[in-house]
Amino acid sequence: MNVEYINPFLVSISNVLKEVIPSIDIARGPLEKRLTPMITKGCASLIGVTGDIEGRVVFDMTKETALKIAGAMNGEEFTMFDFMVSSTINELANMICGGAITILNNNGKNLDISAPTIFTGQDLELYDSSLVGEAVIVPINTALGQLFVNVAVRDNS
Amino acid sequence: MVINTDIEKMHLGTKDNGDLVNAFIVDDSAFMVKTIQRMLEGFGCGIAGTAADGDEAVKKVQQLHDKIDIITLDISMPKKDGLSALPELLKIDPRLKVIMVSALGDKDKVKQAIMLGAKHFVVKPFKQEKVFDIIRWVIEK
Repeated sequence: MNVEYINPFLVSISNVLKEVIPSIDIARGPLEKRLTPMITKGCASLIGVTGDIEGRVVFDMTKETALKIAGAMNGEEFTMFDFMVSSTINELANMICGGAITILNNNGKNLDISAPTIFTGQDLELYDSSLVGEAVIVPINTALGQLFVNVAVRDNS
Repeated sequence: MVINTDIEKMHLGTKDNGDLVNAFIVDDSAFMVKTIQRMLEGFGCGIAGTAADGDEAVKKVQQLHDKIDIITLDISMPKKDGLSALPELLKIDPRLKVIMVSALGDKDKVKQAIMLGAKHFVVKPFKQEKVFDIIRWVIEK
């Protein structure tokens, strides 16, 4: 997979997180390439990408991190993973992915995204189509926990 | 999208007849409905209702349109998306002022929405001050 597709996601993560949680400090960890299957951390929001590039993006984190992020975005504490937590994490993924796809579209691509879908549970295995090959995973470290942005796309253009 | 509900300068006041500006929120994300509702209430808006998709919005607006001044309308939704619902909402009541909301800054969709009669387009995540300026501009237009 072309790593240049990762940069818009990194820009968008920084923009969106600073907008929705202004007090947050974020630091990017080292990029990692991995073939499927991958084990998710406990809460994974998946968004499909279609158009000139095709595949999916997964925003993966532990449930504890999801509760903390959703709490910070809503201005209230969550102790249980409920509908509002899931809606908040899906919307965070939607805004990050939307921002990244907007950057790519402004640079000549023609792309769209699907509505986010959230999966929860321990040790869920994620299998991609062999067509998309390796996924690129970027850990984002925050005081609320680690968020893993997992991108697997192929170029159709 | 940090919502401060105690900013005096960001208050829309009342209409000429003394009523609040009333809003209707259409979004499939419960988080976004809650966030937009808190923000609009902070601006001094009344909330006439909410809907989670275009079909529900059309049905509810048919009943409530005389109590609504502005609609925030998400573009990507199940069943009927925002761009499909927009002309139906304006057919019910051409007086309604619709502000489109999307996570994707898609220029073609912005143009399409404006051509269909939307008054403005907001890309998420949005700043409270920017949304206030847009709503004030839209209701004064």
